[in-house]
Amino acid sequence: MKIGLYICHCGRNIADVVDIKNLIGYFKDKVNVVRDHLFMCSEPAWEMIRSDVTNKLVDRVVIAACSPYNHEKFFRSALETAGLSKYLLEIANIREQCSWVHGKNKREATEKAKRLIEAAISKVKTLKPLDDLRFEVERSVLVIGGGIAGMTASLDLAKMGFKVYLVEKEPSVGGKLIKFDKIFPLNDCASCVVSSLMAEVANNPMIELITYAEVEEVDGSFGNFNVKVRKKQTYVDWEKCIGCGACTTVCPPKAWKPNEFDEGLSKRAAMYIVSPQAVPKKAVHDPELCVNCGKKKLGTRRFLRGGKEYLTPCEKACPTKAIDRSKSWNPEGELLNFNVGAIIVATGYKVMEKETFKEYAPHSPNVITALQFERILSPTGPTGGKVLRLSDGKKPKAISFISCVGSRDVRYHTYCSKVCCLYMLKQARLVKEREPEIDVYIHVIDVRAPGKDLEEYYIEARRMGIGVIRGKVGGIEELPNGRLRILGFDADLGMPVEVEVDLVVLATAIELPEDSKELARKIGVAVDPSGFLKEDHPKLRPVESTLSGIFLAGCCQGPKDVSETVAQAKAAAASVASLLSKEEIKVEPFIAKVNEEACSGCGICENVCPFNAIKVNEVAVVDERSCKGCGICASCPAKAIDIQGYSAESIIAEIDALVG
Amino acid sequence: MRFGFFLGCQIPFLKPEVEASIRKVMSVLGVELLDLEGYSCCPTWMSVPSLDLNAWLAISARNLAIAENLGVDVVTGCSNCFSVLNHAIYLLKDERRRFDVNRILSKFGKFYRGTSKVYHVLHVFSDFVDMRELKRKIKYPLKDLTVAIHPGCQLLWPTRVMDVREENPFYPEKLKNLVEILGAKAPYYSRLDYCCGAGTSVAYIDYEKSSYFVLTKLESMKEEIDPDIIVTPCSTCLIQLEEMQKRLKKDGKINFEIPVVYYTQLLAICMGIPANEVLKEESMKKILEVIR
Repeated sequence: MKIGLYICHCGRNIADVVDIKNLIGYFKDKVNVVRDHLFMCSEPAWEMIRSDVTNKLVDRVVIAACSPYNHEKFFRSALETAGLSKYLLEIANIREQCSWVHGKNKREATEKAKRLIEAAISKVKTLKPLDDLRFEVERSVLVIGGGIAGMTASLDLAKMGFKVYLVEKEPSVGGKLIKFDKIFPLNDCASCVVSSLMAEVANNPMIELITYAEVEEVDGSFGNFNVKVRKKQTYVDWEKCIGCGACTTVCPPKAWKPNEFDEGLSKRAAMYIVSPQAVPKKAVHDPELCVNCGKKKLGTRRFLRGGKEYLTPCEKACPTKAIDRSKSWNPEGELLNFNVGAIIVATGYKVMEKETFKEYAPHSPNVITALQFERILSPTGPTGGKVLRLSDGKKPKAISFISCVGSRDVRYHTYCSKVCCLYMLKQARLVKEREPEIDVYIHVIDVRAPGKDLEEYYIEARRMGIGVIRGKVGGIEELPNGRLRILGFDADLGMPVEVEVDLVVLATAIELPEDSKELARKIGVAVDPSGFLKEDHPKLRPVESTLSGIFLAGCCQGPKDVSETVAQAKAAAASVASLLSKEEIKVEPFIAKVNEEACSGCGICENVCPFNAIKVNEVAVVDERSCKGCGICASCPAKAIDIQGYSAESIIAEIDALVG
Repeated sequence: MRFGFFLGCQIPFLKPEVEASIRKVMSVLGVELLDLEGYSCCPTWMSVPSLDLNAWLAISARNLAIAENLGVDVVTGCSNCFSVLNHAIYLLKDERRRFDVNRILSKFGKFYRGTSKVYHVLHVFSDFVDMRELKRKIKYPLKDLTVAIHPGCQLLWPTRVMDVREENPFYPEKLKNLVEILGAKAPYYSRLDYCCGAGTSVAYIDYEKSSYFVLTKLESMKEEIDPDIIVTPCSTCLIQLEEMQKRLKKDGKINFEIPVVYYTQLLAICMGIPANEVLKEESMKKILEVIR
């Protein structure tokens, strides 16, 4: 056994704290080869390791550098190229776990580095050559969420020839973007951007569009996930429904509720079609809202005195007989089951409700969220695109926008929601363009407009006469005439200012909806401290989730505008394609391995496995695809189970060297 | 129902008639007020709390320990005491701080456990006394009286330190309901939660700035609801609004003066307690004129 030790300076990151010369002197006689390099992750260093292995100088490699999280795969490739099993490598992390945290204590940091390296050497001695696991790949993809991100990713994958299942929880795709009027920076029509995509996903033969459905369960692993999707009951025969909307107009007002599509600004009935642009344009029945006209409950028939059958208004209105209330519909809907190779999560965001902000007079109908104002500006919205306030239907004389409501605020979210400054400017500009006599104020902490064309967009807004007041708003008071007084601050004047307006728009924070968090828990994707889904690496793996085979796109990963969302969706689609386009995938072999001679078949491992990956059939058998290598089963009383690459022997050797 | 009555300094020294009204009203309602013998300064904002955290907490804890020994919760008529003591309780939830404070208290044989809560007099009516019972005791309900309510900041914020809190401190309900029980109207006006101008002792330092707050508040009241009387549960606000109105009138900045009363003074009169026992002589005539 010939061990090679390669110590990285990491520029000055390690070398400034850890005495590398001292390390080389210390390990010179303990291993066969010791070398150092300014940047071990550089090509010459890689070549140095490769040639040492090729020239049979070493057959076990220890690298003392940064976290294996960064470059383990890179170093493994050097071994692999030289014809050695790439798993005969161990990394001692002397940067994150040593030099970065012990910068003030150089002597002891050097001592700690020695221990860490000795542990790695002890471990590498126990390693056995391993081969990658190879699995067949299911050449299909599940995309969760039918907003701009999900649709873009689906279309890209479909065009590359992959089968795509696009699951959307609402009855129509389109997401939040279909609610908007215009989008920055070009003030182009949002509907034009998104409508064509909606039509495309509905008509692409490679995309199976499953709307009004939610993912219930995800099993298996990268390359072969088994997915269960619950298609919710619509109580309308979608085969027959032509989306004419006749049924949606006949429900009595008792069966109305605030319309989600208009952010609660208008009403919808128990029979409804989500939006005028809905795809698929089909009616849905809301049994919780239904008042059972003529006391005709779902799944029953009623006959009038003359023997004629009674039909409810919705049944009567339907020209194609798609509505049949006497049919016994299954309230559970339908459970679909299929296999996919990879998953893209694109579940989007929600904005905080105004009710959270008690200081901003949330009870006033003239205080609205920006998403509600977006509906007011939209030609399909409750006012048909006219700038009116909804409390009395009059044109406001003055409108104020308040930014950072819930974002950049230690009480709620410390992050910046990123898009608010620009969509406020956009909404303000749309108001000014349509009704120049309306005074528009924007209260901001500062205007954040980084990126192409965006600063220019802001300058143009100021030129149009929009008042940008720098300073946080402390409160809003309602005046007896329904107007609102904004208690603000002008940091440029250095004094409090008060503005009286007719309509206040709150730019509330973007956050991950509760049901997306629930979904993340179900499929095992991590949520980061900001409350959004965590990407695997912020720079190098920005569209990969923490679980292999599951990818992220759009605002579920963090606030972003339409351009960034589309870019990320395309990146996710490309990443999925690069992995699924191969015949088989290689997976690290760090899974449980059963010593069949020692196994007594007691079944403890079967009970403790959180992934149901081990079954006892006389002796324990590991399902290689499901095993995640967590090691819980390695607590076997007969010591019959070991994790490959992390055997009990390796770990004990490592600990002995650390404490010895 | 028994409470330890934390008098504070402002009410007994500057507004003894308010103390009298609290005691009388409570006895009518059958609420027993125990005197906290040996109590000291709470210590109020701008004094010890600004200088020494440990000393503040020790003094507050000492006061609270007196009530704990009697086995009662504390009620106070003074919003400063209410706020300071509640902040102290909040901070003393930290074990380390409690340990430090008890080491000081042990020198004179006291121990702080954190068992007594601190309420404001207003909370006794809003949350402890049965509303119907309170209504029955009102012999002379107010009619056609418009009241501007002024809850004062310390009773509303910060809610995290209080045991009894408003649903929405920006639109407080408790004082409004209690005034409406007396038969008066207490409409909302936009500067209801606006500062009285006495906070952070600005009243003593800068008359111009302090009176600006009062003026702004009065203008909003006058313009929006034109009240007959202002009712407040805060003795500091009471003094500030009374004194500043006099000065503003003298300076010619306002041409009206709205009488100001502490809530229990108004309640006492409605209960039929003789007005001269709960109001000062110089303001009595004017207030009674308005109420009649």
